[in-house]
Amino acid sequence: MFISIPVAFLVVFMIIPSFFTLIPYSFYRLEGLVVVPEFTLENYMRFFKPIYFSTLVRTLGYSVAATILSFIIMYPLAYYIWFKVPKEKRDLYVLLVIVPYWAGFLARMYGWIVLLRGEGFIDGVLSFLGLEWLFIEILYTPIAVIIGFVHVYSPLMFLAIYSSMRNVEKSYIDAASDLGAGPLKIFTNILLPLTKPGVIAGSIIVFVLVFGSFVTPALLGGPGDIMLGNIIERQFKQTIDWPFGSALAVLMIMIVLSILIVFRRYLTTRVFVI
Amino acid sequence: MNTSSYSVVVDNVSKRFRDHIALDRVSLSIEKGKFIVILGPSGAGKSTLLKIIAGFEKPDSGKVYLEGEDVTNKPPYKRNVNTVFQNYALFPHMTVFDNVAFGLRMKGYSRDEIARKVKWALDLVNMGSHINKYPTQLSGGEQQRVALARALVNEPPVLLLDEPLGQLDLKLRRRMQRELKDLQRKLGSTFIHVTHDQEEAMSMADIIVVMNRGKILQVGTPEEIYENPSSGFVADFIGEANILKGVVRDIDRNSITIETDRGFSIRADSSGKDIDVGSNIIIAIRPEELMLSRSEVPEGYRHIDGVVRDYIFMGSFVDCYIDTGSGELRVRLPKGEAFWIERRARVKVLYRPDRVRILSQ
Repeated sequence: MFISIPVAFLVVFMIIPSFFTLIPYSFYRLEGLVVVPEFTLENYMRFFKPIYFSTLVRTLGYSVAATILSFIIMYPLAYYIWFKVPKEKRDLYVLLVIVPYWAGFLARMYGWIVLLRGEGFIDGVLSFLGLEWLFIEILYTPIAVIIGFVHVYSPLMFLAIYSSMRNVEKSYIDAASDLGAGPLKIFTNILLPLTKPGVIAGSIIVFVLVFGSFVTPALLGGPGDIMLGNIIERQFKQTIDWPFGSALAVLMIMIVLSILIVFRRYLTTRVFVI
Repeated sequence: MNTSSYSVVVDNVSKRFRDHIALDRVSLSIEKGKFIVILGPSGAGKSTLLKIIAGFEKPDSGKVYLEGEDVTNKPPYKRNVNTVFQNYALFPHMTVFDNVAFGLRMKGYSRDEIARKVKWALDLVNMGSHINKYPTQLSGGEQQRVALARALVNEPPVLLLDEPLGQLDLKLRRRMQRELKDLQRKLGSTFIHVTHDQEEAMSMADIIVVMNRGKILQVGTPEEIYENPSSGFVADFIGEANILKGVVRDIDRNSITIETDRGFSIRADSSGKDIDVGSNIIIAIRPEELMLSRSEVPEGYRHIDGVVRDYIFMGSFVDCYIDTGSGELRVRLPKGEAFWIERRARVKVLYRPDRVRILSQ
């Protein structure tokens, strides 16, 4: 029962649409504005044009950057909350990390626009401090896009790492220190191996969610900062080239699926038991 | 103080956790090559003292010296001590071999040396055949041995043991106590062992350090502490004791008469002690040094009248609770001498004045 509900969900919303629309369409030909059900590989070949391929590279770049930044920010935070915060305050701290994740997605995106835009909040603070020379154009650059992603998805990284961190006893760290390991060696020999499942699960989740994004680059990025999701969206809404859009969507699903298959043994639901 | 002739010197150390004082100006000098047992009830500060020696906690004030070197501000990984933890703290993602090799790898030993030393340490604790297992595949006793090997492989001059036997069942615990003692003799290094089990302390220690409420109450050999406890707390904690409060009523050369709070008077040998009539006094009598009889009082004994309230069969001995008017005395009889005891029987509690310990005035 508990397995069959998610399975049914998958079948209804993923497999059926994929098999009956996405996959067939990706092999159809477009004549003018009409989809002709004739087999062709042309849609897939088009993907290897530099403009699309460079978008794939950019999309991967955003995903990797957002994942690594989320890890760099959230790993120390998870360590701090688990080992340094008094027991009775830990849940409060965890809640404070997660609460932003529950806020409206668009509200947070527009919030960043207000903060980052020229003569926006950050520039205001800088000029108040007499630091006008620090003005940098961040909004509508890749940096703004990555900031947006990290803000939105890093709480998921935190949850995954934190739930792994809870299995690490303080005495393991004491024992390693007792046996002559300094902070760096404790991190590489004890902490990281013991929290590896959480780090991998958190990384996959952030990576996959960023990989399929299209709203964040549209709002925070410039015209040159678009991702694969934006191109797919464009095929369905503007250029009305459904076969090419379908081919791109199939390719994205394949990439995500292959990542999930490689790391599948780390993706247990246990990671999110807090 | 000449700190270098001692293995560990703790000098006037205090430690406070929020509003709880864990250690209150504790000083202790530990000789090289001794088996030290720090004994006290939970919350006495004994684990905190051990953590301060290991470096996991920093004292609020005071100093710690290891082999003469001031290590007060050094982190654990720069101190030449190793610890066996209460919950063993074996690294769950490493095999027995890797756990034991960890300290050697941190110090950069060669592969061959590591293999040789790990084998030596695991053979020392009879775990040589388990090198490829993971900690979760071992029993509690086996994990205990691996934890010991992991510490001993570094050949530390001082080994700290934080209630390492607490999680083992009684039989295994007794065996490990003897093995630990043998190991310490064989290696000749200093062992500092923390426990709340007084039998464990008696059976292992060269020197017992009794602690309570963040203070050291007494330091001495097991015999010294058993025979001459410095306070009612020590007398009651080491072995068992009837602790009585009373007022000195009469002094006659080397003996005094004390009127106790339990409704009887008792004579005690006071040679070498300066006691005034009317002073308040605490005395201790060990249950095994009392005897019971129906009527006769042997030469050299004195007696207290009482009624048997209850008796409990404990195996090789019987504990009798004797009502003495407004209180109770515990008397421990060997099994063979207790056959005639029954509830509500009138008895004489026999004692020798020289076995009544005067603790404080």
